[in-house]
Amino acid sequence: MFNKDELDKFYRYAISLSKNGDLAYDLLQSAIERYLRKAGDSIGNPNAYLRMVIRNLFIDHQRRNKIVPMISIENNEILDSELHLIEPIDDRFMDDILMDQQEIELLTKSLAPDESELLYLWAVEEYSTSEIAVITKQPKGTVLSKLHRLKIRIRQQVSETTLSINET
Amino acid sequence: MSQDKQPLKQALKNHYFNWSLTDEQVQQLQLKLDANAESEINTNETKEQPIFSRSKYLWLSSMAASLMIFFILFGKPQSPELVTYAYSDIKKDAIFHNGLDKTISEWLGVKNIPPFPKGFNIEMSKFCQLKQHPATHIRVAGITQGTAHFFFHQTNSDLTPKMSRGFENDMNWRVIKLHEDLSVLVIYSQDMREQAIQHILDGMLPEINV
Repeated sequence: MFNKDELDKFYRYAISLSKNGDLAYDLLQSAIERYLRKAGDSIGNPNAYLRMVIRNLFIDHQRRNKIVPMISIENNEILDSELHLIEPIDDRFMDDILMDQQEIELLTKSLAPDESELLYLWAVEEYSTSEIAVITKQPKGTVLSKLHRLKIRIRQQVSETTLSINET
Repeated sequence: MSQDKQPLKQALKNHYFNWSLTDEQVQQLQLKLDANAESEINTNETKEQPIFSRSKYLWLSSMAASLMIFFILFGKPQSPELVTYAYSDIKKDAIFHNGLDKTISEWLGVKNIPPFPKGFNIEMSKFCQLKQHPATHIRVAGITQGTAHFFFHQTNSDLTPKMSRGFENDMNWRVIKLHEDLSVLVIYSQDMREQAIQHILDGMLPEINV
């Protein structure tokens, strides 16, 4: 049904949300249980279904534990008329930002789950912004806006880190 | 620490590819997937049956009293790490209500552990990790009140006989060694009667003097 590579992929997606290996495994396990219960109802796209269940379970988990909401507080609304002002998000987007693994670790920890999920879907799964918009149930403009804001923030974060290293 | 800087996208890929399921985790998930799609949900009727003998009750009461005196005299011992991990798992799994999963049922069969006595509703069952060791977590509701958690795990040498029971976060815990490489950690709420726990253990582990 799902091979190891696919299971790993779901596990990593769950990690992008939860940033915790144990919780990610629990989410995956429960998502599979739900999938098996639903399997009789002819699920059109099992991968998409499983990813959606992981996402919903994570949101439930946050609500239950009264953790800050999954959505970052920044206003990411963007008007369709402003879309052309945003640079295209292609393979080279954010290529000018160079990071080592330790910096990446700090970065992923500092992001809100929705931001972390967005970066994961874009960078690791290599989904287009339109696909991410469908997966995360947001307008495409919001996805574009979020990615651009993230780029600015990450660049700022990197330059601050570099500055503090140089100062020391 | 690696000082190699890479473009963000590649660095993120490398970061996430460091995360993979262990072989054991994959095996557990594959077991689930291979099993029947329908998870079994325990809908046992809560038919009463004689559970407690008066003599056992008295024996347990005196034991509980002795333990209380021990704690008053020597203070509360710190719970082992395994117990702490189990508490966090309980919290994490609170949202799940999948009943007795078929793979768990099969696993209990493989380990020769008889089914839970009738009347106790299995609310949740799943494989989990305690201190990065695989474990099986089963949450059981008491007949009238309370909740108990059973964590079957590899026998842990860190748990000396002196550390086989305790109290933390308003819940009692006990560790019972089933055989050389399998133990069960039982954590139960205060409103779950001690006798009910004893009854479950007696039913499930008749050959073991718990």
